[in-house]
Amino acid sequence: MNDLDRLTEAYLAALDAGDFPALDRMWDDAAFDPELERTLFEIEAAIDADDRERDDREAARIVGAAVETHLKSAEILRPEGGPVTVGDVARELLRHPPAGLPAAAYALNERLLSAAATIPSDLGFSKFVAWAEAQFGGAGESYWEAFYSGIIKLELRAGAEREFQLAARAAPKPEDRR
Amino acid sequence: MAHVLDPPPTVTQPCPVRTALGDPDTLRKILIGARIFLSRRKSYSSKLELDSDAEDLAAEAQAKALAKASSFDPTRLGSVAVWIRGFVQNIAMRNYATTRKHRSDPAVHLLIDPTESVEDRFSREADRAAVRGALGLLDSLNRRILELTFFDRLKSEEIAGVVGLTPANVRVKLYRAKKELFQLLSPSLRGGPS
Repeated sequence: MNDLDRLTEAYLAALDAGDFPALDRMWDDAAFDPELERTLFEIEAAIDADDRERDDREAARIVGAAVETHLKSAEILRPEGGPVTVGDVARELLRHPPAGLPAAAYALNERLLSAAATIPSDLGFSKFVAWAEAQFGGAGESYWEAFYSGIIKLELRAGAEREFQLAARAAPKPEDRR
Repeated sequence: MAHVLDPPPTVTQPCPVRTALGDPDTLRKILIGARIFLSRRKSYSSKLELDSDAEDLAAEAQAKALAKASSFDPTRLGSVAVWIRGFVQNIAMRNYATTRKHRSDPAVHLLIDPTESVEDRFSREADRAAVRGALGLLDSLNRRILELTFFDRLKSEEIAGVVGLTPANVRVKLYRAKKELFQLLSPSLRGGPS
């Protein structure tokens, strides 16, 4: 950890704790130290950017939760191009629950709704179950079978969306082709 | 023969406060400071409400700075941007009573001055499963930043290049990710319910 990491942590800790005298001391030093001044303004800009990003995520979560609670048949399509996460598959299973799952499977699925871990690619079913049980615990083979099918479904859907976006991209203007 | 010299022309120095207030970069810094202070003193239900209050606060700070511009002495007060930012903080403290509770989180102190650092916790065999489970619950970008920091031992500047953020953004995210991870791990590490 370097001096800048320590300064950032001290600034954020003072801000989180509402320790304004500590913040004042840092800014008093910065008033006569252009390098420190630049660094503190950079830290504030980074905090602000992160605050706003968190606000956006929280707003999306609240709206998403409201839709999932009150419009049970609705499906929220998130335009993320990233890999499929454990939470994505758990949400898919919540919307389309397979029949005959044990109670423990529902409890585990509930817990996995917020899991952001990405699923390792190119795992066969048995290796996937070994990985998943090591990460999240056991819930019966029928649950992991349904989960594995969910992964394939979501990956196919994501692939189809990517192809659609590629096909639907705007053609370059003749003057841009040069 | 005596030469009659013209008196030197009077050079009017531009007012540093007015110059700073004419600089969009300074105005942006003032607005960011206003948003940060307000969001920590009051709970806002929407971003629009926060932005509106922040613009009012920044405008009030600018007006105050302008009114006191003649008293600004750079040799005594240093940076004009820092001086104006001080108005933001003072007005925020005076006009916006705290309705939001500040928490002095013990986790933060452990992370800043650890008797046992997060790095040490990562290396303890018994905690690895708990750490893996907790990492899986984090936002994917925050998890990646933690992994690059603790597993790959990269510096914030190097991580910034990998994830496409500024080093300052990485440091803020790293601090918050460590805090979140610590909170997730605390029940299991204390032997309590997870």
